[in-house]
Amino acid sequence: MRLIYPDPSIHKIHSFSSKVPAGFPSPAEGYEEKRLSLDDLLISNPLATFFVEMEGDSMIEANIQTGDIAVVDRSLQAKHNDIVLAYIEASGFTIKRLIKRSGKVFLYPANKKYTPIEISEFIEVRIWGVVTGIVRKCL
Amino acid sequence: MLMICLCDVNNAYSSFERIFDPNLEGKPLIVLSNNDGSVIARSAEVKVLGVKTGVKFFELKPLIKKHNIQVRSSNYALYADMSDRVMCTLMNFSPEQEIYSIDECFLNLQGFTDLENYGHKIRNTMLHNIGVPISIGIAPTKTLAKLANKIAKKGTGVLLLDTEEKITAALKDFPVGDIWGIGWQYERKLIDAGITTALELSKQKESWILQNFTVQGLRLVRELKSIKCLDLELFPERKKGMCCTRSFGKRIAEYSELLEAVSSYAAILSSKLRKEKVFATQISVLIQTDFHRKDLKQYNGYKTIVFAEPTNDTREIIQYARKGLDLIYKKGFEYKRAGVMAMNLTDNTAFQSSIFENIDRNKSKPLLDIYDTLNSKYGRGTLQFASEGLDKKWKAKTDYISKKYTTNWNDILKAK
Repeated sequence: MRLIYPDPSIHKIHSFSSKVPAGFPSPAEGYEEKRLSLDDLLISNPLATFFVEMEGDSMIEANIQTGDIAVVDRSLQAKHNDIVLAYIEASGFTIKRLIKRSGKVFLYPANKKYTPIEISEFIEVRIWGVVTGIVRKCL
Repeated sequence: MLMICLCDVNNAYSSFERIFDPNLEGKPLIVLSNNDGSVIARSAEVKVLGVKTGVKFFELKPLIKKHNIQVRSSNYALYADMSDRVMCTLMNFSPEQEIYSIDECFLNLQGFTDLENYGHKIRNTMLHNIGVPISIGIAPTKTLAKLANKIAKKGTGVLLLDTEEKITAALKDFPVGDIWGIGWQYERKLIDAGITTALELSKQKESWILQNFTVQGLRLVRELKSIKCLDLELFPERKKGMCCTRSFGKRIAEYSELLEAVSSYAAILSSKLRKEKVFATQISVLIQTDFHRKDLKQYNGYKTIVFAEPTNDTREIIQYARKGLDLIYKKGFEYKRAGVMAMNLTDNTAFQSSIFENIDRNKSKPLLDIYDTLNSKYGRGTLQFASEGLDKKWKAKTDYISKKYTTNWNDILKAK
């Protein structure tokens, strides 16, 4: 059996046709295309996508600054070298790079000031989702 | 064979809270009703402690301390969004879906194969993509799917009843009172007649059932015997009425505060009407004193106002609601609850003029569009009518509410 996933954005398409007072049809009629949207660029599975705000400088060398909004997709399987949102028990949410090396799994900061965290039996870590994009407002 | 799947989010409100606060995992958690009055949802750990839904919050305080039970006010903005995500994700697994409640839906799995694995696949997808545990019951009828779901909850999360033997085994130990559609009155009647399990009920003569439990009971028994009597309702009927009824954070006696509350509820109701693109032809206004406080004077006021013309204009509905309130308000009572209900909804828009001299209906649409857009973009209350009041001292308590993680930019998760 194969699953076909309908594109949820289809439900959101608004139909509009241009209003022309005197009856001259617009020369662009029939050529309309959907306007670009950041949602389409950054989000592939809207139902499983959440936004998270970065606090601190632990990922500064990966160009993620405090105040940046991370786009997090839960539906993806986290792979080696992905930037992930993880939950560390008794510590909270953290954004780090997932590194798998010689049978071990680490959460790597992108800042030499911080030390990597090894995911082991001594520390409960759950990978919450994969960061698929970063959004920053300039104003 | 027809195969119906019932998907049900386990302890939905608790599970939704835990997605954004994983620290709550494994801890007893309760969610309180509007106004933090009583328990409306419990995590599995709380159910084990014997806490029932509906228990007053203040009565639970010793137990909360003893077991370190975590408490949350109900966060409907969050639950509604998470429910949408759950339902739309589930929609991808079947061509036909009936959304039954905020946390349950039926899927039509007719023609699908390897159903047990498919059930696990649905369950794993929900756990991974959304972060909620769900239970799945798959059976030839809705009633059996519900029953299978209840059993699945105690086991591996998925139960498929696709053979006579499996169905009989499931019905054998299933208490008759837990069957979908059997209320406590029917349960008592059945137990008095010596029928305690679903299997015993399914073996009763149809004539006896019909005589004692009407045609509704007969349908239910047939469904237990794998005879389909209930179809999936794919296109929900339009609501016949809508309401906004709430308890206040404190008892209020002043007319002015009551008017603010009733105006606010009328405004919320009007927004709901416009969202559904319907018009009300009448509203009922209701005010109640605190019936838990037997030592105080009690009074319930209720009045229906029929409109000159159908409307969903906030300004008109607030004026009608005020008219209703004026007719039922009595001085000298302390009120605890009020509500505004809209009845006889219609989608008729063939009218133009307002009966209120100060309202020009031609200007209604642009005005209300701006009102609705601002309030949906920046949160309810961004733009409001003066009669709703500014400080809203009567507003319901939500002392333990979590953040609107998915509907408000100021409330999103933070990570270091």
